[in-house]
Amino acid sequence: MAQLCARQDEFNSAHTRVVIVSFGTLPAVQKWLQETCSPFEVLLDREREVYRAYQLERSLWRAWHPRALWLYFNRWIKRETFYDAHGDDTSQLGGDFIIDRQGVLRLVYPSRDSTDRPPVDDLLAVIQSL
Amino acid sequence: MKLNSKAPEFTLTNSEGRSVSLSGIMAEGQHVLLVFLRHLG
Repeated sequence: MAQLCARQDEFNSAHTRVVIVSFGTLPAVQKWLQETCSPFEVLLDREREVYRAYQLERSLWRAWHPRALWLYFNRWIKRETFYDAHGDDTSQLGGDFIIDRQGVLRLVYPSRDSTDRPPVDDLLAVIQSL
Repeated sequence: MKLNSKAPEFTLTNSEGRSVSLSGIMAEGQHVLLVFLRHLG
């Protein structure tokens, strides 16, 4: 997310609106916005209806893949912030989608595990090809 | 979810309580990068 934030001007220049979708509670999302990345709009999907519509899976094994555990270990070593999941489903995976002006999906990237995100360069390359 | 298929429409509330739909964003003539988060923990 930090990489997306750092390059928000490039998305603006490419006439692309970055929209974050979260199933977190409003207080948790507001805290996350304050402490991480505030320029992007966050939409709340507590019931995860849109997660299901975009076919994003739940998987305890993939969400807690060794890569994710390693990431958390490194955050703990660096004394970085951990957010309370507020009892939310920690097996829910995320994903990234690029939708063009006609409403057509031009990138479909469901995360393989909880650390998996497409590189920002790849996102911008897709957008610039539209 | 297939590439080059129509994106599912949605309407959700943003963190300020305002209703936002995909079709509404489309109407502004912008592309959209939708980033679905995992849990915030």
